[in-house]
Amino acid sequence: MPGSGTRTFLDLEQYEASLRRAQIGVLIAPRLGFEARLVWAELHQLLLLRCDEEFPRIGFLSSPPRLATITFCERSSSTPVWRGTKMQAGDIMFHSLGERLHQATAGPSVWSVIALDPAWLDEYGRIFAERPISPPPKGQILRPSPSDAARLRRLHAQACRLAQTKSGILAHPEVSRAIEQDLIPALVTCLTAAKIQEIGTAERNHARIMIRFEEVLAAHPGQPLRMPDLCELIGVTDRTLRSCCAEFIGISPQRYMLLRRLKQVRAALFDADPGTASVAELARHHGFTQLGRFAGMYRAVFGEPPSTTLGRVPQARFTDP
Amino acid sequence: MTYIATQAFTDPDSYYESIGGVGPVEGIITARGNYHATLTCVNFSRLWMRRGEDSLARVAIYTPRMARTTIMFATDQDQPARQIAGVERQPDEVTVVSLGSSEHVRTSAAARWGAVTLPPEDLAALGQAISGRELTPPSFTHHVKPSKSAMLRLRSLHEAVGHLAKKAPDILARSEVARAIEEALQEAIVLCLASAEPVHVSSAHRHHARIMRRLEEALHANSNGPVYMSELCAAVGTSYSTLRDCCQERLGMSPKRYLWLRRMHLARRDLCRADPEKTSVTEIATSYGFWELGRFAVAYRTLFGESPSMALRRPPDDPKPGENAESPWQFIKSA
Repeated sequence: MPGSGTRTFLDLEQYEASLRRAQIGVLIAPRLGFEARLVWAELHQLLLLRCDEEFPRIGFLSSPPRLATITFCERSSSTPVWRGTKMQAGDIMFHSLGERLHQATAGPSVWSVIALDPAWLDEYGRIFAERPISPPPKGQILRPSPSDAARLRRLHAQACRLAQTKSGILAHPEVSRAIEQDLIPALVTCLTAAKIQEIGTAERNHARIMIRFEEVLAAHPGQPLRMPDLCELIGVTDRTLRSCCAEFIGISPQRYMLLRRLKQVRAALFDADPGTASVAELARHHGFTQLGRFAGMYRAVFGEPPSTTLGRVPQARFTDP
Repeated sequence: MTYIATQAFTDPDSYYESIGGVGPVEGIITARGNYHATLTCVNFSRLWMRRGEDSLARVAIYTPRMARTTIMFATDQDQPARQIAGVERQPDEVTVVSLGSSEHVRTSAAARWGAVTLPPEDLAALGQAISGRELTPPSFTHHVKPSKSAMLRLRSLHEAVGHLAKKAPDILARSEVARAIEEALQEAIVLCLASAEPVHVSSAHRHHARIMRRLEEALHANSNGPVYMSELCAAVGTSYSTLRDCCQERLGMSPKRYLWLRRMHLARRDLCRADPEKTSVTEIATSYGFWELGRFAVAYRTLFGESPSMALRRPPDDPKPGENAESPWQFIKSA
């Protein structure tokens, strides 16, 4: 049964949870404040998402493990950097199954997702391009012709606008079918007629290092890692890690780790009981020894002092989709 | 007993349904403007004839009944060329439709046409008796160019029967008159067919014919709902580009346009038949996937010359098939 909806998020965690419900794993380190809106439309075979983010951020994403996924940047105040590559207007990313990658934006941006069962994509490829299409073993950046890219964007935006303003109409099975059947050939054209952007060996190596970096961070939550230890765990030199981070996320590894730790404190503040927990204790637990400096950094990133986060009545943490 | 009916239509579906006694007919109007059609049906004991006139360009799909051979022709010389199975046909050609096939007959303007159907064994026997040639029904639809005199004879006879059906059906219904006319028509047909050789049909042409047949079967299987490109390709078992080439050739338009026209006509059919008290334009339009109502209304008006809301409010004014006379279907059942 087709469905659609739209939701505005003021809490990063809820936004992440909603994306995870759409099978998109995501870890976002905000750099200044947070506000996002998610528009989703579940058609008969296609899942559409429009992620409207009002803040600069670094995201570590994983595409759905069992869906063919296509993402593209709809609009951005600055050039978005996806998997270390500056995405040009019209570029689309055709992900491998469960691909993990970094997305960095320096300002507000809107990015879009189209996901579908690979079996359908295979069939639609045979029909419209006379060859099967399957998710590539390694994610590809495709550059369709401007008109092909514009058509896909227009149809996607149209469906999302409908989801946002007239969700009831989109729920009509024949309407969602008509929209979907317009989108499918446009999608196939973009996937088959586009130029594949070559990825160099160095770029590929760097992408591997960045994933390894995330794995190491995930394995060592809580206490901050020192650079020499971090480099040893990843198996790279300090210099390489720095240049990878500059390329992929636009900040130093130390700054990134700091943002991630701040976010962990935030999650802990949300979960804690304001009657018994203290900000100082939770901060110390995540390696922030100087409370004043911590509070300043926290406020700069999340737009509120940590005590406010602690005292806030928790909202529903999981929302559709 | 001879069945005679003459009817006028403003609804293409009723028109096609009424022709349908000789085999199912479906069609889509491809031009805009006012639609009207007239149809004369005369069923003698063995030979059945149809004579029709419709005012707008269209694609009609005719699937003859297995038990009858169909011969189609333009009722006068002064007519634009028609396309049958994707090939342009001149008004002086006669088309013999193969058994078990489905043919797309496309016109680019108002058309006047005639058809005669008879059991294949009759044709074979008459061929032997009249011309000494065996006239077996072809396995593929073919076209012949009869001699001028044979063509003239068939046309004038056909026209005379049409005239009688309109002006003096009681005379035509008399068994001795009917028998004499039926025999004369049979003879005219045989002379037409015996005076010409069939034209060669290429294998690509046959391949396209098979695809078009499957296309119509797929549409027929979903006769009341929208069908979209990818579903149609999957059902026909071919790629979009092949289907596009076939449709360009046979229908003179892309399959996408054809499917869109089909949806528009389905919406029109519902609008004309629905009760304005119980349903709305929005409801009908969305049920055929037209969700941008402004665009739908503009397209509808361009195509049909009236707004969808007018179509909904207008009471159905078309005679239902079989209203003026016994239904051809009933006749067939009782015969």
